[in-house]
Amino acid sequence: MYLFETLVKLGKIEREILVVFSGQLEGSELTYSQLIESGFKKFKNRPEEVFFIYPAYIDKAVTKIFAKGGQAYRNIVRYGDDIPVSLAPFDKCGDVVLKPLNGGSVLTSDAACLRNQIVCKGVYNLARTRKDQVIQKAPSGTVFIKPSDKEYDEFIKASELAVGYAENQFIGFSLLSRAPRGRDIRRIYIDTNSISSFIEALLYYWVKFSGADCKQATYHSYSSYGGKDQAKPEDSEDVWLVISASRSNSMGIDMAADWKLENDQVITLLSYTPTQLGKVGDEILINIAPLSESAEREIVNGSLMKVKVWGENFTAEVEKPNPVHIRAEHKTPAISKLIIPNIQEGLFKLNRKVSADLEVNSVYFDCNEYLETNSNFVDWLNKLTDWYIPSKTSWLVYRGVDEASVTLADSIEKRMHENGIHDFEKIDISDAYKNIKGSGAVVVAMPVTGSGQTLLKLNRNLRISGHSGNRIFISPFVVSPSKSAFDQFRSSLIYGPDGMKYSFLSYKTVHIGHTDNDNSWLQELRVVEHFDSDFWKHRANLLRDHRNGLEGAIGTPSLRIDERLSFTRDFAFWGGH
Amino acid sequence: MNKMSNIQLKRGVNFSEIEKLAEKILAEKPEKLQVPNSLTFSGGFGMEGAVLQLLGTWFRASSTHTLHTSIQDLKPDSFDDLCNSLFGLIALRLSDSILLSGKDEVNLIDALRPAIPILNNIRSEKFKPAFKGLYLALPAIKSPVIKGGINREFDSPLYNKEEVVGAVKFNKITSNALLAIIPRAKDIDTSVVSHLSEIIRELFTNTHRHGRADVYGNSFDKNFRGIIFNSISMTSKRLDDIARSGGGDLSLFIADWKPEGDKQFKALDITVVDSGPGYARRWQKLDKDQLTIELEKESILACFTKHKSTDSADSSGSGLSNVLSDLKALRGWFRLRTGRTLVQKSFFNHDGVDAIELKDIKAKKDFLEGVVFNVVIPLESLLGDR
Repeated sequence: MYLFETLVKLGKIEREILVVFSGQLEGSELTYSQLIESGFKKFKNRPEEVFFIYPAYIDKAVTKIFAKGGQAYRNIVRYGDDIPVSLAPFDKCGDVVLKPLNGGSVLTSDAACLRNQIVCKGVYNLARTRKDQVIQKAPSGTVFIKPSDKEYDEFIKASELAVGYAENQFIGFSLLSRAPRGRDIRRIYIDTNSISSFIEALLYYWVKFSGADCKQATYHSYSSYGGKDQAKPEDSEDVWLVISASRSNSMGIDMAADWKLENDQVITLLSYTPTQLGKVGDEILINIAPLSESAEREIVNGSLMKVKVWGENFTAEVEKPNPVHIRAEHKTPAISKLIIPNIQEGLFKLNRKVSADLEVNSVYFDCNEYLETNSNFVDWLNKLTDWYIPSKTSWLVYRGVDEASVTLADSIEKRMHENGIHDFEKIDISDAYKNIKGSGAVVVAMPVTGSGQTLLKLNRNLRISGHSGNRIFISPFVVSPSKSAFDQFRSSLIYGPDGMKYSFLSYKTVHIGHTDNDNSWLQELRVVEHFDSDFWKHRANLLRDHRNGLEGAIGTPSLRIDERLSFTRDFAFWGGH
Repeated sequence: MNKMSNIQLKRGVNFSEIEKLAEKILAEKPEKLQVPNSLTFSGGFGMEGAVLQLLGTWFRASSTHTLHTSIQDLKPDSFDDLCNSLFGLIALRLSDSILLSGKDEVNLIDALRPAIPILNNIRSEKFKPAFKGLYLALPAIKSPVIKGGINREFDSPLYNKEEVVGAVKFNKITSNALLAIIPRAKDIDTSVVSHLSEIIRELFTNTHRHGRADVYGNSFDKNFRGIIFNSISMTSKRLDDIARSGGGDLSLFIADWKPEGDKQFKALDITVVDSGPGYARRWQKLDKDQLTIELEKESILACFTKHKSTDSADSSGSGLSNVLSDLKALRGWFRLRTGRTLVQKSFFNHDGVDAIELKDIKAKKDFLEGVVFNVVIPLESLLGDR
């Protein structure tokens, strides 16, 4: 089973949907129940609709498995009655029909458009998930020489897209939808044998849908530019050319001309260049340029060591990269402006969590006092409240389990009253979904934003509950893993339906790098909590107590409770393998 | 802590006596607890679960724990009976010291020696020979590691690494457990096993999610969780005794089941237990001195409401409501004791709604730690004889 979430648009309707793709009958009702339960757990946000996609030839079995009241049914509708679930069997052409299981979908106006978006976004999701394998980067000091003899610092390896049966079958389904219609395809040509698993999945579907005893089509790998001339078919009427990847789609365009293929007979799976109307052979499955760091760049510096790409392999001896020394002068502005001035005030705590049900934060901003007493911040908040909060604000959302959120909301509330805004209700974020409706503006007081999941989830829940007004997210501190992660979060948050743009306002932003949920202190606890001595019991209690965090005891230099680990000025460390 | 105080748990303990003992433990915080070698009827009708909850309350209330056993001499099989029950295994494993009846101290390794083959059988899923009689317990105990040993909390068929196994594997475990304790288990329909398995899995998964850390989310250094499968067979008189000790609701329910004359009432008796903060504390994220009984009742109602959850993942939160509908399908009864609340409900006669209402939640005097969820299903319902 392959699950992914994505945003789809049909006309003016936009919905965050969860797609559950089951390319074959994967087991009994119990098996589906388990697969859905464990699959859903991977997604933190509630979708607005769920689509269960499967080949139509197993429709009877699937309908029985999801009979109302059964365990599989119970699991697939576990997001609640407000979230429509549709069964979506697909046919030989990859066309889907929607069968409501729980409530009616609002995405019924154009099933083909919905399918196309599901295909594109599902394949894109695979590429994004395996970005480093799909887009291989030339090691420092080297450049790839591609089969086309062009030099680039990236190489797209489409064969890395899918792992396991479900993902390969999803690509098989995607190819079904893009296969030439009205043409009896007997020969499929592929540029590399590494994508044969995709073609096998496609051929399996063709056999099952046609009821044939064996495969009706064959496939041939012509080994990229080197073999395309030799592979040229005498008659191209029943041929489909599937190219694994191309930056500019040039191989498809050249070969369409050379082999006399029509536009529907050529497709490039992964590309950096969108299809241009009127160009024969320019069709692509998806454009993955947004995942590339050099999609726009042509040829890199020619003095670099050249690494020849042979099929799926690279041939060159690569020298070790030069070591890089990180010195104090390389520190980011946040270290000087935010972290060092506030380190003594306890603004940062390690291994702490805000509430029992939330994850432990490796680095936690304990900003309650800061929000009340830092005069620069208070000025900022007051100005922001004056400028951004509209008079027709109906709701002020805070998180009750977070003391700092309550403080922030209180400050905003006070200023709103001073500005003559009285007709709004303060509401806990856990109740927002049930109560907020209508078109009044919503102000959200969230002192610290990390991954941003809480705000994204609120955003989605407000859409589900029918809130159509403006939203102003006030989050003084942003502690994101990286700038790109923050930018991605921000753009996901602020763009609403019908061109609406919400505000996200922050005072200080720190990119703290990657932090694991299972941080080093949790790993340490797992080891030391079984040691039988007073020292280790004390250490285990300290690591276990997330109410106050580590209080400076980030490690231990000896077996003395009162001794603290200290670092030299030059010490630096970071995660990684 | 009162070092002089000594609380004694009797072999034939009943529900009302357990409540009284809990009151005493909470008031006196005794160091020592005197336990019998076994419980009457293997603690059927959730009695062993109630005893375990008492143990959990003792572990949290007192700072040191001395287990005073009724065993006279240390022989290789002296602790056989204690090790043959979940309450015995947990009491031995989590106490700081173990005494014989004459107050001589026993080494933990010697006391737990009879448990080794039992636990090995459980780990290799040989359920039938694991315990004596028609009884099976699957423990998950977190405790300081015995020198040279490893942490065994997740070393169980119930776990795959540190996660509770999924529906398919759990169904297999349930099926094997039934074969070990019910002579006619192979006649039970697969859909019945499936309902039963889902009830147990939901309840055990709840213990995994909510029973291993305190109200602030800090993991306990010692805790226990477990599942007891018990096949019970009782006369009308025994049922009367249990009914009397369990209060009015239990009497009403048991009236449905009373066998005629000398016939025996036969049932499957399953208990899922943990020593965590309990439903209300986890729901409200408040400690017990901050909780009113009204808040506790409100929390219990919320826990049984569909699509409400303490879990941050939105796909969670229909577990306990599913338990109710599965119980209704099996015409079962359940007893839940957590904090200061007691919930009992029967679906035997197919009447009533499959939801918990305020009137189903009774207030009790003392705040017991953890959760005990006991399910009783008459064999006739399981086997489709009625």
